[in-house]
Amino acid sequence: MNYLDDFHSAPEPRDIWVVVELGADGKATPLSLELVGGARMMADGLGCYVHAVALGTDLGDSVAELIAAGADRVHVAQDPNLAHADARCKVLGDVLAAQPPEVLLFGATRSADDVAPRIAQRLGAGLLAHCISLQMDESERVLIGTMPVYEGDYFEVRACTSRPGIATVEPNAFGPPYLDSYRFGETETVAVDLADLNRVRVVGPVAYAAPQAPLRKAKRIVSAGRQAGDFECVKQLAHLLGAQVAGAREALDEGWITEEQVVGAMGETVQPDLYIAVGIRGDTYHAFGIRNAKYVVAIHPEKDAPILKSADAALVGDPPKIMSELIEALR
Amino acid sequence: MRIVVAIKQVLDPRGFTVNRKAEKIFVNHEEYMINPADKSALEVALQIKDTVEAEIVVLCGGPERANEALRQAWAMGADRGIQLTDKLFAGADGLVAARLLAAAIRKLGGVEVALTGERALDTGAGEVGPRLAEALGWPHILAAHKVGLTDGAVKAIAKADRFVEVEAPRPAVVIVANGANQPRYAHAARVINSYQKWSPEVWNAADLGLTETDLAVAVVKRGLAFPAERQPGTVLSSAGELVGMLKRQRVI
Amino acid sequence: MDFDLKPEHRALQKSIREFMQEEVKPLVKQIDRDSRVPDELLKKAGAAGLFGIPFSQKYGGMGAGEIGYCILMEEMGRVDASTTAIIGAHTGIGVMTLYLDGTEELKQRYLPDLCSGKKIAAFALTEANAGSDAASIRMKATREGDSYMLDGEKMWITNGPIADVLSVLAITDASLGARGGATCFAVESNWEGFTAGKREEKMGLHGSPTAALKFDNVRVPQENVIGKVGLGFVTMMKTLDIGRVSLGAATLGGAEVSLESALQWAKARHQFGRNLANMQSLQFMIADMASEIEALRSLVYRTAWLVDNGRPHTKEAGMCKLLGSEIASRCIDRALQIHGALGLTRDGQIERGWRDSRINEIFEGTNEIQRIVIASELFQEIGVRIRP
Repeated sequence: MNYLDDFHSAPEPRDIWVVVELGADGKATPLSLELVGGARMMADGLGCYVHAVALGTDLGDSVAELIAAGADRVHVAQDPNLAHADARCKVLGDVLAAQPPEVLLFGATRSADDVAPRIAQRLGAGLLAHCISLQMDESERVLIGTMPVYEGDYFEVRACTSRPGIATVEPNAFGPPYLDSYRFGETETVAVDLADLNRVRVVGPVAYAAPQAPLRKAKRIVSAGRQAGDFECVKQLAHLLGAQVAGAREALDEGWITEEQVVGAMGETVQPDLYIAVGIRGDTYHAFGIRNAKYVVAIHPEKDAPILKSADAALVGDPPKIMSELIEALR
Repeated sequence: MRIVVAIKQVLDPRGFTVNRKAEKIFVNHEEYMINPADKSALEVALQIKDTVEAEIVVLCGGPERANEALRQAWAMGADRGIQLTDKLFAGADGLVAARLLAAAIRKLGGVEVALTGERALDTGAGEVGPRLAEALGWPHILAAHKVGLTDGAVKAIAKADRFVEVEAPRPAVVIVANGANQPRYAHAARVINSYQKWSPEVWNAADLGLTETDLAVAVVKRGLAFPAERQPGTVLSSAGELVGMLKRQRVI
Repeated sequence: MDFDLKPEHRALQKSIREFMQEEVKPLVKQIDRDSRVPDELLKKAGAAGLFGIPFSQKYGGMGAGEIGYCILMEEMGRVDASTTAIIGAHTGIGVMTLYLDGTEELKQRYLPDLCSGKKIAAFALTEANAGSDAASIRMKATREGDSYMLDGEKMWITNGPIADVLSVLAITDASLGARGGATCFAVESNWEGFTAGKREEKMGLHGSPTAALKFDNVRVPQENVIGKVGLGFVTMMKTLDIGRVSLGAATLGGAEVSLESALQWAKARHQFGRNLANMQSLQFMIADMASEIEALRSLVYRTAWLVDNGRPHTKEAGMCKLLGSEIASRCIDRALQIHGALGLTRDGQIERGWRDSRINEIFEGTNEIQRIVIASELFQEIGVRIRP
């Protein structure tokens, strides 16, 4: 429903709802708290309440945290079936059908990929997915979000004019929430009714090797050069990033890589989203192979290495040491 | 066994360049293609047809040029192609797209599985698949890599944080992961015939029984934004700083 | 005048380009190094319908016409000359002979398998003493009951070692010689008496199997005569004629990638503090390459259009082959120069194209022969009959 038409008789704002997710430690994820903080800001602007809803297990301590971040009411649904997306869709949909929101926020997670669109369709609402930034335009009362298209080549700014407006939000769109431990809030238990639900059955985990893209199509590459130092470390870093291993021509000479893994004018031209060059000086021949890379990180001990001048981000130092620090920071 | 594949025609990124400095997109060759994840979904359908008797019906909503995507799908081996074209469909968002496709699937009747790709390159939302399932009242399987049929159900290897085997009763919507397979090449004779001997069927809003209200969009495009200009030669001082930067710039 | 490709041809071009990028390009180095195009690859090409592109769907072909076939050859020529030669010799001259002059029964018998790639064809005309002077072939075909006994040797036959069906020219009436006394036959390689010699090691086109062939009293049923007895030479010349157009297309493809590589390298390489792209000598090379390529493209596709519209095309076909081969050689040579040392290295990918392109000026009728053909046509137009 687009009520821009009757702007001057805009109805009272309903409330802002945030779907909270729990991390492996059983506490609300940092992203969930961030969203509650963001919802609080929106709610203060509109003059309405913030609801946090958690589906799954007992939140325990997190309830206090969510209230401190800005939730006025925390709704909890507890049921082992809620481990499954279809159950969460049903329960959440029922709650929101009974208490229609002004805005509904999800963290941009795999769970939200399953749930948010179905909720949106059920409520006849628009969805702004994977927003890297999101705000409420208070004069128009529409949600404005910015999201990546063409795998992040650029972004589109979109407005959601429906009520509710729904968004899935990436980390750092709102920034860390302001935690006020003096805030007061309520909790409410949600009834779980899964009758008439056509269930998707999870049979069990399975070992499956997804087809690996050829190097020229790899999205992430960690590449070794003569000064890489510790090739095992290179492989570790690659594994952690879900990247493919490659190398400059000299890595072939060192016996670390095969012919098919050589990047450069005498090997493959690659176009990854992320290329980490470890110990590669970066002459023309190698540079030719990465001319289409979206983001190049260079690690090299010599501060006059040519690659450091063209990399998007460079670290000068002992490559094995820097790689270990990187691996630590990424974990 | 009637299987529907919903495909989308998107602008081929090889035909345009993004100029961050000018904050503009320069289209060098206006070329269109079948959205890659949808092509993988079509390949899943064709693989099912390789093993059991199935009728593959491909749906594509869009302007007149959508017929090219359907011809390509037919050339790859689909049995029927239906183009959903109407002035009222212009600017369709996820909400409307799901309604369109659901209406078409209901009109077709007898559909057991509806397949589509997990994300369109040009919207990046990944919403149409689950929305379609909701609109039809069917269960859905997300991020499917391998799909098979069992008695009255559809089985899939899907990726959550790791690979699991899931099973949904039919009819169901199966959303195929990007890169799940390598789509087959259309046979050259069929490519020629897709223009000389075949045409897609065309359905409009009236054919689908959809009114202007049904087709009112909820999301509109307001503008574009661009990643920060590249700063070659940026030297950082620590691994921690690098990780922060990569996260901030959404490289990881 | 509509210079755009029809939508079905555009779609075909896109489809083939993708196949070449994904399936063939990753193997080019290996094909050259191992002197072999993998059987797996040929099977995939067959499954994609690339073995019978110009032929009517009535016979299992793909119905894309000469224009469609030139598109295939151009796209293939862009990626790998060896694979192009296999499919080119098969389609453009091997199968083409049958297609142009075979009886309906012969066509129904052989074309479906040849078009699907299940069987490979070759064109066997050349002999040790009969290259450009094709009319001086000596292979004999002696009538015996309801068959012919073929005896003799052929040389430099592309696809010879892998062919299942060969279009062979032999002398049926020695008193008349090739002109009037030669007949064209469809011969199966698994017939007794046929052997292929060892694969020649050539300068380029390593993956394209070429060999001498021995026909030791091979019994060929009379049903396998292609065209009319005694008029085989005409059949063969007619086939070579059409074959030249698509060879022009293949050389066009090779020239295009030479230009593209040169542009990319010029953009990337810096010397003397400047980008190579700013060196005027290089700019002139690039401009010359691009201009020749543009002219060749118009020539090739217009000639293909003449073929598809049943118009005479002998002169133009000769021009396609003549100009195509020389332009491609010039372009790859310039590209090599622009790449410098990288152009000479096997890993650099340029030198293979350089080695692969030399044959274009020699096979399918040397460029000297093309010039004679073109001149003959021109003089014929003004009533002068010249003999080579």
